[in-house]
Amino acid sequence: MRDWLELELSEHLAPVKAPDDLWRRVNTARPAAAAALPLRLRALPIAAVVTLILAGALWFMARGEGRQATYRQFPASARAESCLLCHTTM
Amino acid sequence: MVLEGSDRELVAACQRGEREAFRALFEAYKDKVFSIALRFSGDPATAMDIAQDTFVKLFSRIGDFRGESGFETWIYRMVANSCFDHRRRSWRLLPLIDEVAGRLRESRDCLADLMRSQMGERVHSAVERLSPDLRMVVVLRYTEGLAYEEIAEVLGCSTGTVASRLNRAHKALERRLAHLVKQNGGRHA
Repeated sequence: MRDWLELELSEHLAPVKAPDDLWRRVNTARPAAAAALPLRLRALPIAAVVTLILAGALWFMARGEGRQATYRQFPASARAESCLLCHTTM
Repeated sequence: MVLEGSDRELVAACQRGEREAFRALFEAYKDKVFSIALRFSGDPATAMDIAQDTFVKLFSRIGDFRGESGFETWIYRMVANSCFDHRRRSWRLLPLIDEVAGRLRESRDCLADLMRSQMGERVHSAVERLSPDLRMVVVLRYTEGLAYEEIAEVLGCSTGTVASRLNRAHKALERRLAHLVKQNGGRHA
């Protein structure tokens, strides 16, 4: 490594004095509760909502497929007769 | 880094819950903690938050300190973790945004550079643009003057990893700062 870089880094990254206000802030800091919850725990409600939405969507899709299946099971001959009940030519 | 006699007594007093001991421990380490936080974050307000978090954690977990590692190492580890946690919490979704912000700051600073230490600003800006892992190694090395072995102990990695990270950081910083040294007439060249 170049000497100039070593000198610049040592000069510009030198330690500094902490502000006097820090002790007051440490003393008044609220005990880590909700803010300190790990990210995983905070993600749980979001994961639960996403799972519910996905489950709902799957349920609707499954319901739709069931109806289609009922329709397909209708015999072709019967279907033609049933259609003629409504769709008649004048 | 070994546990000094005075530190050992202070830690023991803190573990007994003596309030004056907490204050003495804070006074002994506040500048180190704040310096690392400031050099890592590049922002005094963020550094205050990190330093506050570090001391709150330190005081609440001092009972867990068993003296297996040096007390100073333990504090350095705590402040390094607070820096990384703070960075994760700050939701910087796209590293690209940081990069663009860094470049904008650089161009905005062009005029002001005439009136203040150009090199100092550029060094801070270049260090801020390093990845958190590389930046922490640079801060521990140049702000606290730790040896490779000590940095490895603080970060829980091998000395080889520390050397490799420092080498990559030096190359990146050299690339970003070399032109300024030429402009300044090679002050250190």
